[in-house]
Amino acid sequence: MKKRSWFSRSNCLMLFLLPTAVLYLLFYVYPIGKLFMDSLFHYNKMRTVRSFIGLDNYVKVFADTAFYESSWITLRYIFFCVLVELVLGFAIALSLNKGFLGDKLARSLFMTPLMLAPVVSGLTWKFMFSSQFGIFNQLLYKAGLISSPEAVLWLSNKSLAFIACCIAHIWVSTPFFIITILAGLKGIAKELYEAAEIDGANKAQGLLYITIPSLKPLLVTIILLKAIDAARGFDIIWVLAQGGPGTATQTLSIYLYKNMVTYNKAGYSSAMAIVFMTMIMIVARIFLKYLKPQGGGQE
Amino acid sequence: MKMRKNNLWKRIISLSMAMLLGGTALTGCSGGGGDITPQTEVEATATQKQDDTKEGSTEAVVSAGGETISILVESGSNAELTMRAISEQFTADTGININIEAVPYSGIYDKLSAELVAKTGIYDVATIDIVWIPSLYPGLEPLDGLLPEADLNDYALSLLDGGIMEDTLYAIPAWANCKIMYYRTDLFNDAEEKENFKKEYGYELKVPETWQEFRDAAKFFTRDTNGDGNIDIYGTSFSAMIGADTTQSFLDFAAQAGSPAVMFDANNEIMVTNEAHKEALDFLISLKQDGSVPDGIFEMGAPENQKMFSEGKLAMVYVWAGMCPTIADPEKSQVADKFGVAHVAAGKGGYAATPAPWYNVVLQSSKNKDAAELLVKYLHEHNGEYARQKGIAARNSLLNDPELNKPNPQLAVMMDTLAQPQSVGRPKTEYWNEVRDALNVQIQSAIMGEIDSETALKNAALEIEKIIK
Repeated sequence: MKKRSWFSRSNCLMLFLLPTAVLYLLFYVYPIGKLFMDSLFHYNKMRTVRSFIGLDNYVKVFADTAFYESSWITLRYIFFCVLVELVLGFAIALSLNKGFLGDKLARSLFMTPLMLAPVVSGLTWKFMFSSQFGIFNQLLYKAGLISSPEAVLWLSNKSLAFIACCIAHIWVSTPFFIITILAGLKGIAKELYEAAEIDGANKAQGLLYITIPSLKPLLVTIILLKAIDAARGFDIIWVLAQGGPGTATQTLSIYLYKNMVTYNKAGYSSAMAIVFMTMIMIVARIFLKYLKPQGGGQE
Repeated sequence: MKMRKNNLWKRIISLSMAMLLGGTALTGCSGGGGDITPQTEVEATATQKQDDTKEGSTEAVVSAGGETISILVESGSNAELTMRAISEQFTADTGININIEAVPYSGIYDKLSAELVAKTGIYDVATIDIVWIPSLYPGLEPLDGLLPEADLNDYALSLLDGGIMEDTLYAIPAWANCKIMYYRTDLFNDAEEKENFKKEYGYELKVPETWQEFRDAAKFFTRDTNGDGNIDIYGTSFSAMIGADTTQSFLDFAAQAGSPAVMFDANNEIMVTNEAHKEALDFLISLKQDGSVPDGIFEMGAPENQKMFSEGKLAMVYVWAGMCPTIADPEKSQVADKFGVAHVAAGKGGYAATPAPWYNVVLQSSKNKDAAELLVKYLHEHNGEYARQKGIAARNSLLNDPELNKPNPQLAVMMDTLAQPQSVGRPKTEYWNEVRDALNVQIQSAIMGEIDSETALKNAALEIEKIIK
C-alpha cells in the first residue's frame, strides 16, 4: 500500500492557512471575544474591580437616548458623505477616463488627500473653517458671497458644523472612489460602446445601459466599504468639533470614545461597541444580499 | 523518480515559506502591550505634528548610559516649556534622560487613563489638571515623604489639598492658576473714549469692577472701526466650545454670583439650579445678546480668546494668568505694550475665580519609580522655572517674591483673586469629565438661545444627578 506522505496536499494547504488563521484569531476573534466579555461586567475607573451584571449594559444602551441620537447622526453622516463621494468620484473618474489636457496632473492632484493622515486633514480643515482666522470665509467674503467674514459659522452653528465635518470627510474619501471607479472604467470593453453606437445609442444611454451595469459589482463593494468607513469615522470629527456644538456631530464613534476613554465606562462602552458592530454587520448583509449581483460583472 | 523528487522539493520550499510567513507575523505581534485606543493613535500623530512645528520634537533622548524616563505634558503649556528648558540640566545633574511627550489638553487625560489601565510603563511622570486627580489617583504613586515638611509648608494649604486623596499625597503642585482680566490700556485710558462713555452711560469709564460695568464697557467697545460694516473689535469674549474650558469659565461666574459651592457640593447636593448659577448663565447670555462677543464663541476656548486679544480684536478678556507672558511678548502679540491686568469683575458674591492648579504625579505603572520621583522633586526645587516660562508658580516663597512679581503683574492679581472667600474649588469628583460635558452642552444651548437658562440648568442638574448618584 502506498504510504501517505506528511507533505500531502491537504496538509500543505493547512500550513499555508496557518499564519492567516493565527492572525485572525489574535486580531479579530480574541478582541471581539474580550469586548463581549467586558460588556457583561461593570468596572471601576481603573478596571481593577469588576462585577458581573449580565446583560444590564445592553439594557442601558437601548435605554440611552444619546445612543439613538448618535445613531441617527451617524446614519445621516454616512448617507450624505457616501452619496456625495459617489457622485463626485464617478463624475471625476469619467472625466479622467475620457481624457483632457492636463489629466495626468489632475489625477495626481486628486490623489493628494490620500497621502495625508486624517488627523492632519482635520486640523487643516479646522483652521480653514475658523470664523475668526479661516481662509474659507475670507475667500467667500472677498468673492462677495457673504456679508462679513463671520457670516458663516462653520464650527459654531450646529447644522453647519455637521456639514463641515462631512465636507472634510468627503475631501479625504473621494479619491478612493475616483481611483477605484477609474480602474473599473478602464476594464470595460470599448467594443460594447461601439456596438451600442452602431445601434443608435447616445452617450447618456451608453452610461445608463453599459457603464453603470458593468460597474455595479464594483460600486456596491466600494459603497459598502466607504459606508463602513464613514460609520467608523472618528479622527476628522474629533479634531474639528469633538462632537459639538452641543451634540450636533456626536456620531456613535465619538460617543463610544467618550464613554470608553474620557468617562472610563469600560463595560457600558463595550456593550455599545458590540451593538454598533452588530448593526453594521446586519446592514452590510442586507446591502450585499439585495444589491450585489450574483456572478459575472466586473470586480 | 525525477518528478517525485521535484514535487518533494516544491513541498519543502512551500513549507519553509509558510513557516517564514508565520514567524514574521508572530514577531510583528510581539512587543509593546496594552490596548491602543484610537485617541492614542490620533494624538500621537497630532503630537508629532504639533511638536514638529514648535521648538524641538518629541523623539526620545538617546541615553548616555543612564535610564530614560518619560513625562506626559500638555503641548504648548507651562509644563512643556519648563521641561524643555530644564531637561538638559536635569540629565547633567542626575544622569537620567527625559523623553517629553506633549499632547493637547483633551489628550492628556485620555492617554493617561489608558496607560493606568494598560500599565505598559510608557509614562513615568505626568503634569495634570487638578480636576483629574480624583479619578486617576488609584493609578498614581503616593508621594508622602518625598518632600520634607518644611518644603510642603511652602505651598498654600488649599493647593496641597488638591493633591491629597484619602489622606495620602498623590500630587505635588506645579503651579497655581485662575482666570484674570486682561484689558486694553489704550482704550480704557483714552480721553475721547472716556468722554464718549460718560455721555452714553453716565459714569466714568474705568476698568470694570462689577458685572454691570463689565457689560457696559463690553457693549461700548464693540464696534466697526473702519466703516466696512463688519465688527473689528468686540468688547469681550468667553469660552463656549465643547471640550474646552467652557464649564470652568461658567463656574467662575457662578462663584462671583455668590454660590456657596459650584456645580455640586461635598455632600453631592446639586447646586447648578440655585440662583447664583442662573444669574451667571443669564449674564453670559446677556453678553451674547448684546452682541459684545463674537458669534463664533462656540468654537473658542481660552487659547483662541487669548489669540483674539493679542491680535487687538478684544477690548477685555478673561483668560488664564499664565497666558500673561504670551500676551506681553511683542513677537506674539500686537498689544504687548498696551494691556493691563486686573481681577475679574464682581458679582453679588464679590470677585472670584475657581482655582485651576496643575500637579506633577508619578504613575504606579512606571518602571523607573525612583527616577520619576527624583524628577518630581527636581521640579519642586526648580518651581521657579515655571515662573520664568509662564509667570506662574506654586510655592509661596516664589509667589511672594518681589523680584518675581515685578515683571509678572498677573501674579499679585492671581493671588489676590484666589485668596477671596468666594474662590471656591470645583467639585472633587471622579466623574468630572462627564459632569463637565453634561453642563457644557446645556450652557451652549442656553447661550445659543435654544432654551432658557432655567431649563438648561434643570436639564444639567438631572444629568449630573444621574452621573454622580
